[in-house]
Amino acid sequence: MGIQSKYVSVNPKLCTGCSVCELICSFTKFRRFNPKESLIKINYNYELGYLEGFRVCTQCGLCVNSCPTGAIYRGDGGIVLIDYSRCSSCLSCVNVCPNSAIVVSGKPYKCDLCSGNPQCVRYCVRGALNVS
Amino acid sequence: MSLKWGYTGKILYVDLSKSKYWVEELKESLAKTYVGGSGLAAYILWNLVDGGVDPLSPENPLIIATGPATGALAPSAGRFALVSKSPLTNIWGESHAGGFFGPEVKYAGYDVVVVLGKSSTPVSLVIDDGNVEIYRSTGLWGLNTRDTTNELRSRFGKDYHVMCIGPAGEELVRFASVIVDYYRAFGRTGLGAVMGSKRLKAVVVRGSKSVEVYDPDKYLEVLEDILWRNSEGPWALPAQMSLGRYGTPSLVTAMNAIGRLPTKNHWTGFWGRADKLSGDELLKYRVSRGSCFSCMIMCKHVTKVSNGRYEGTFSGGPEYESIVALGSNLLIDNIEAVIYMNQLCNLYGLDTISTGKVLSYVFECYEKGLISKEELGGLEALWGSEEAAITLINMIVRREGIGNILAEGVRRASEVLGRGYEYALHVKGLEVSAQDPRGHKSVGLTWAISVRGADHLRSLTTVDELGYRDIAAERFGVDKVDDVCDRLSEKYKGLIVKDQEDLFALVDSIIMCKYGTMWPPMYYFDFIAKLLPPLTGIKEFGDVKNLRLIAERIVNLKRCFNLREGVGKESEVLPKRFTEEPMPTGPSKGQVCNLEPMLREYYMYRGWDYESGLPYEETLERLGLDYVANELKKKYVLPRLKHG
Amino acid sequence: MVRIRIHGILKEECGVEVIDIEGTYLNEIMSKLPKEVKNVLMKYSKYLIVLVNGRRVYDLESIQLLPNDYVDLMIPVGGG
Repeated sequence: MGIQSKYVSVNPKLCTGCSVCELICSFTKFRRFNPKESLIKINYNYELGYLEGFRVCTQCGLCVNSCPTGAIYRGDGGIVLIDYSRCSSCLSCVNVCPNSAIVVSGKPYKCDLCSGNPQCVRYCVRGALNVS
Repeated sequence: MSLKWGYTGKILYVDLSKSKYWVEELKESLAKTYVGGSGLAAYILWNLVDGGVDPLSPENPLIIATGPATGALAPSAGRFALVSKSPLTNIWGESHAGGFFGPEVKYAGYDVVVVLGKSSTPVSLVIDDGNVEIYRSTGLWGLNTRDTTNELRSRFGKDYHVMCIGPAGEELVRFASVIVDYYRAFGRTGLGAVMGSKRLKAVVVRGSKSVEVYDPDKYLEVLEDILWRNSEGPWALPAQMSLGRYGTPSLVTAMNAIGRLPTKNHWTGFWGRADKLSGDELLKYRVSRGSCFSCMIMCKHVTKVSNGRYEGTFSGGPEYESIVALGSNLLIDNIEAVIYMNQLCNLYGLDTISTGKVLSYVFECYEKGLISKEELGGLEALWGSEEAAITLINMIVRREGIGNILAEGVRRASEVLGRGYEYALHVKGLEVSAQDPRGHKSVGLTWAISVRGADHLRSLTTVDELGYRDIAAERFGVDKVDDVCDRLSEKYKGLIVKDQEDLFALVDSIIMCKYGTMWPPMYYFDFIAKLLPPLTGIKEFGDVKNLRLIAERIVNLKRCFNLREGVGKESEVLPKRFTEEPMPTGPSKGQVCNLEPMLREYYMYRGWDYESGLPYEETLERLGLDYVANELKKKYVLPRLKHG
Repeated sequence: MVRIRIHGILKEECGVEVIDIEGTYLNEIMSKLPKEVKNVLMKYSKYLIVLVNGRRVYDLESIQLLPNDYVDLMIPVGGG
């Protein structure tokens, strides 16, 4: 596969389930607030008080090969990006993604680490998010 | 122009009597006048009922209200409001809850949900974006709130959020609460009984829409400001290291240190055993630290008792108020028992504050020989008895024996029993909260004038708890700092309580949390003026003078609601314990609360006439509340500043 | 003897909850605190709140204490 890029991960010992990361992601990408459109998804069990899991692109690159138009490619730093001028919205990438990390809002969207300055990491006051 | 930024522009009406629902537009003019949340709900409630409606009748509406910020990234913008006429007090009923339900209402596409009428059989209201279902819930009736929530999430999906009543609301216990997301609560004023009277077991919601932003570039500046205040600003560390780390329980030892920790039915404000109920003691039982939606303070916690009599108790909280009400207030120093009783109240759907004060009324009456063991069904209601407290809670929920009388709240209970009035601690029928006016004078004023009754959340001032001189100077002027910050001085408390009541009227309408506004004093009117315009596109929200006017309008409307119910200045009195019994022990020993000078000052700043207890007609005119004045004039002669 | 009570994060970090100290002036008493306590107070000095008999004090040098007076040390907390 070649370069393994960095990706965002959540520390379950620190996450409080506040969803600020989801909110700042949807705002940064889509200029509005909707956790369901966030490219990082927190699954926090608020009955028992623990992080059950989280979903975000790990930049594994499986979608690169699945894309019939070659719209998905590995860019600088190994981050997997989508060229929307080539994307046909066939959503093959969604099917092949092992993390269910591609969000569809018309077109498919995935975490691109905000071009090197991930906002979710910045906005987590507890420091529960970091780039691995 | 229609509302589409911040707001959804839609109000959902559901009539349970007719099994019908419909959507109405939220007009921009209304949003500009009342903002949203409880301010908007006040306008809706005023117009839906006349004075004298029975709170447990189908005519009393239940209003679930969000604000323009709900569901956005804004300070603690996960909270939402529940409004109705209170079955406990027969006046204005309002409560707020955190968690994650409120934003989901916005994502489903509604600013407000109004529930009318009454179902003949138990139902749940299920909202899934544009789909509304009145779901038969006979099988859920009788279940506690945890089981109810689990059943509904299992039936509809884990991404649905649930607010529900437990057996207490079903039994129409007058201080029954509504539990949200397992552990959050619409605690006060008995709104759980309103749901019970409607046979409405639960409201369930899920939404997939967005909260739109008018000017995202400008709003990004607001977001960066919020982040700075919470990570690097002057209040960031205290927010994280006091409130965040220990939650509200961090208040137990702090309030004890200033001598206003309610102990033994508020007999005194200091307890030598308070350390056993402290925030650090509770830390030993904590499973994890949690948060409400969209909040950077993250003050929530989940606790577990792993050994002993209460082994297996798993609870969200307890919070400061609950620890006091069920702990020091009853001379119970076993934190595990308090955790257990807190969870019992969660499961039953009971206001921990009112429950605790009903219990301490019984304990004090028992001590003074006013209630007998026989009347308590053989129970010895001794101070410090966990067993007695738990038994009484169960009797109240089942309306068993004396529990049937206690379930009516401490005011009615003392009237029915005909004794112990001086130990029934309430204002306007709402049991007092975890403060003591003798050690913190402004509390006396807050309790007396708040629209719900003895309320700590409509105008509690904190600048005079530990003394925050910079804030006092900034907001009220350097010349007033000494008195403003002195918790034992009555001077200027009318001014600061009025100011705080205005601020909170907006906080409760936008909706934000008291943590961040009540304490730490992170956000004030100037912040709100920066927050709302780029979110909503409403320029008028950017003018602090206008915001203050809206705030006064909301406060006046709520106060006039109570006047329309015939409840006025004669109700603005404190229990004699606080005005006539000098505090017997502790750092505030010897103090009493002298209400009158503070009340006079408050009336002056409010533009109300102290002698009659009524608003000057000019005040209502200035605030655009002519329709309110006209209504009140059917009952009262409104004073005028200028005659002729 | 003056009783010093330490609260919240200050207590958690220095490990001391209560300590009795001889002295008359508050700053004199504070200077006699154990090193681990002083270090924590230095760390949080920007936020330190000092109460004497339940009332907040600001100028530690001028505060004169009587035997059985008590001092509470904490960082800001409030509301509720």
